[in-house]
Amino acid sequence: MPDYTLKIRRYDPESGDAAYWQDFTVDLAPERSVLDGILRARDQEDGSLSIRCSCQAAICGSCGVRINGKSALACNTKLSDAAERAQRGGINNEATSNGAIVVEPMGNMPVLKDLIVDMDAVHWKKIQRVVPWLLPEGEPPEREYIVDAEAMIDVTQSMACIQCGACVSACLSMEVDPEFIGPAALAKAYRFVGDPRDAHHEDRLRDLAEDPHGIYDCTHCFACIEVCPKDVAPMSQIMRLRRRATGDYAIKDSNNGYGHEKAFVDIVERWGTLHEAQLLPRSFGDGSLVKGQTRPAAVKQLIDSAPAALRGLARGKVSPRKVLIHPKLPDQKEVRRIYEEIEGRDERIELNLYIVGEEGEGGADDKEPVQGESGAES
Amino acid sequence: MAMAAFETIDTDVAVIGSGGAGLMCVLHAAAADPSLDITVVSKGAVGRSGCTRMVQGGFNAALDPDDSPELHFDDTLKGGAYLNDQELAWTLVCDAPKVISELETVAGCFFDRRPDGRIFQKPFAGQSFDRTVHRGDLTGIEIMGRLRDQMFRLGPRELEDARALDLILDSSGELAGVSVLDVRTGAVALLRARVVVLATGGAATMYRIAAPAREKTGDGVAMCMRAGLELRDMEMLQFHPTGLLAGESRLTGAVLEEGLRGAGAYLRNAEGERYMERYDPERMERSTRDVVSRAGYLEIMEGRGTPEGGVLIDISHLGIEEVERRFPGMVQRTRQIGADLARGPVPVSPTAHFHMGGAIIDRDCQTSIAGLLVAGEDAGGTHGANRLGGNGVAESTVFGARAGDRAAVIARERDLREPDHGQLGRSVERAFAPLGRDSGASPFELTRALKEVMWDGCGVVRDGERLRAAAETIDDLAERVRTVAVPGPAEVNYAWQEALDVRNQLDVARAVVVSALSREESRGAHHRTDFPERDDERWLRYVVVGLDSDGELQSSSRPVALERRRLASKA
Repeated sequence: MPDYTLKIRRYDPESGDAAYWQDFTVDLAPERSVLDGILRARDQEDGSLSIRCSCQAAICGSCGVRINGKSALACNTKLSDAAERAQRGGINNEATSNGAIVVEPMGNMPVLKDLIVDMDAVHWKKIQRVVPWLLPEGEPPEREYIVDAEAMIDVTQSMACIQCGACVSACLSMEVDPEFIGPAALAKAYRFVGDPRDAHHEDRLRDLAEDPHGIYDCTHCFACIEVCPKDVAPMSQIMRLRRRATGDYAIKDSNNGYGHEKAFVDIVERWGTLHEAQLLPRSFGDGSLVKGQTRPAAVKQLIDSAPAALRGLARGKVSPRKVLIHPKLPDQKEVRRIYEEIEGRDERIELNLYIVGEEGEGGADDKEPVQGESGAES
Repeated sequence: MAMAAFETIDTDVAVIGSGGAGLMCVLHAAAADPSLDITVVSKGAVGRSGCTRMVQGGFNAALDPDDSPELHFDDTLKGGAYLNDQELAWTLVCDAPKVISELETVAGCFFDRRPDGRIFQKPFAGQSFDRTVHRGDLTGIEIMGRLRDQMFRLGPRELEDARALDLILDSSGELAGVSVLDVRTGAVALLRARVVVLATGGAATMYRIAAPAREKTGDGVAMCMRAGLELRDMEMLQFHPTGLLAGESRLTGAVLEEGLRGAGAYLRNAEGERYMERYDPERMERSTRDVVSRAGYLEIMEGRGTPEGGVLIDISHLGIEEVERRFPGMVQRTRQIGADLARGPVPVSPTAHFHMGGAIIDRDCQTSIAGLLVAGEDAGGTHGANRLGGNGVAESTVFGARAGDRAAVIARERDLREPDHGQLGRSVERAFAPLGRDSGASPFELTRALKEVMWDGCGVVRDGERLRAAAETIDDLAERVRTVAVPGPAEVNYAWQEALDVRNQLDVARAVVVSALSREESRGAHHRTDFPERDDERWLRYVVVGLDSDGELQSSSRPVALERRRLASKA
């Protein structure tokens, strides 16, 4: 069996010493997991090496770490894959890996010891921020709420979350703004906003839209989607929250998320292409050019954006001529037809590239009765 | 090693364990009396330890107007070979629909729906009606996720990465609380409580090949035993027929689901023979869990196993695409160990899965110690000699809920007691002793030895001779565990934790072996080659074991009270 070297970041805040790297060499088969490697090192070399784990089958979500800089579950990452990645290099930290598998605690959360981070201080605090329980209206039914079976498909992705925190660890927005509610908690929020039994969809959305660290704080970097071991696609859930907030409830937020989207749609409807000079004032004015230039708050935001506008001028992206005259697309009929078709639909069809695989997959397989007894049922 | 001074935490209700039973208990106790001070002690992280979270199958409850608790009850007794405590089984089937409704409307779980918007129920083996509620194959995550969320609403005190050591009594022998060790700091606390609820899960991990989460080491049952409580049905340990074999990887023992056999998978020994022909020619691989487990075990023990010590499951004849489509999770699981279910045979073995036996309780989870409640896998009786798929999570949540209701009542009546400091000191001293030794047995070695002896001597198929040998080996290991030495400090010392785990597992193992020896028949999960037949004349009795005042393990048996159902036709 091959030898694998694990370069593990050790840290004990109680000791007063700085964090350090320690190498462990373990002799294991290539398909074994990085967690197997860490536990082997712990059992044979150093009983104080700390990591949390329980099920070892990517269900409990306890063993989130960063492997070669990428957030992942240790139990869900093969030694051979991790070693290959380490060989390829490109590891973005101070450790010189020399081909060793670099294992660090998750990011964006304080370290308790070695590979254990304080999930309470960050992850669970943010989860609590989104009121993570059902808020139905009135007396509960005697048995269950009668719910359209299709309604579940919408929330299945967010329901698959195991709260491992890998997305929180990888979130670039949170690195810049530690107050950002973040991918896991917002995905969780969608679980309730998309749940037909919950009676507070609008309140929840308004709350998350108006919080400056809420749904408009995400920068679409895809990092959370990339690292999620359960395909929850947190960023997709954030985009869905935005779409509901604007499309279903026209929630006007202090971040101008609503105004920005409306400005885009209105401008394209009118000219067929984007009239850049009008985008900012209309965004600040909830889509209205007049409001954007007269409402005190909007005017202030407009003035704050002056440097951006000046840069645009300097680079020729906008010119005085372009500001005043924006040519319409020749075929206005075609633009109209697209708008009429989209607006004429009974249901919103999510064409956004962030939303994947709604039609024809998911759902159906879940309903297939399972033969025999249980699986890992316990 | 000097022991740190320890603090005392006073609480109304101390819940040991944060799986389905533990958190359901908190939910109910807090609902019954919001002013209660509740403390949850969890060996891992709250809500993500234990096995409720791993439930893929589902939850049995008679919801449909055409179904009934009576039918569910009959199925449960038939499955349990009539060894069940009928009061507990009846309680299970009557409360299960209420708990499902509560999980949906209070906790906010969202179970799969039928086209008419009502909860969908799927068929499951051993049941006369389609009554298994589920959420895809993530039923456990849905239930535990929502219960964990509810903890944020209720705000109990949470002691994470903390393990309960012993039940602590007062000088008159009444329950005072429980000693708790913080695994991260190595500090001990006395949790003084009006009520203690044990919900730590079973000890199937004491077998070489086992499915449960690793932190489950029978702590609750061992604590009950040491406190002098009687245990029942300890010989009844369920094996799942197809656990994955992956060397020393912890994925060894992880279950490959029963649906594979349902869909037509073959089981072969190393010689390529479909050996089920010799055990159940009619049903072949689709035979029941116990029969298939026994067949596989015998093939392996008789030397027809693969070099890894297993048999082979093969479903590749259905075609790669078909297997990938129908069993994506299982295919992924086998690929994790370098095999590929869609493309060829995968080595499997029976795997220790669930402990039917445990502490003797009444329908409100009360034990013979006032103030001590036991819920979930730590308790025995509900499932008799064998558990039906889908009754496990039902038991955890039903009895967790009842324990919570009862705890709220008792907490109003019981005072906090002053602990017997002598006993407390001995509990802590015993726990810390391995740290003070310079040399001695390795806890990891003891665990390995225990897993071997349980697998070989008290496994799927048993006989008197091997059971007696196993009992001797376990006594020997119990001697050695008293000399175990663990290097390092008390803080985050996993070797030490392993020593504490194996001590509990050894206590439980002894009870299992002694019970298995005394049951001279075969019933449900318990199969003796020297007594291969079920013997209802002599053995419609349950085995009870407990420590006497000298610390000796005594066993006896009592007749099953057939008050609700007489023995129906032999199942």
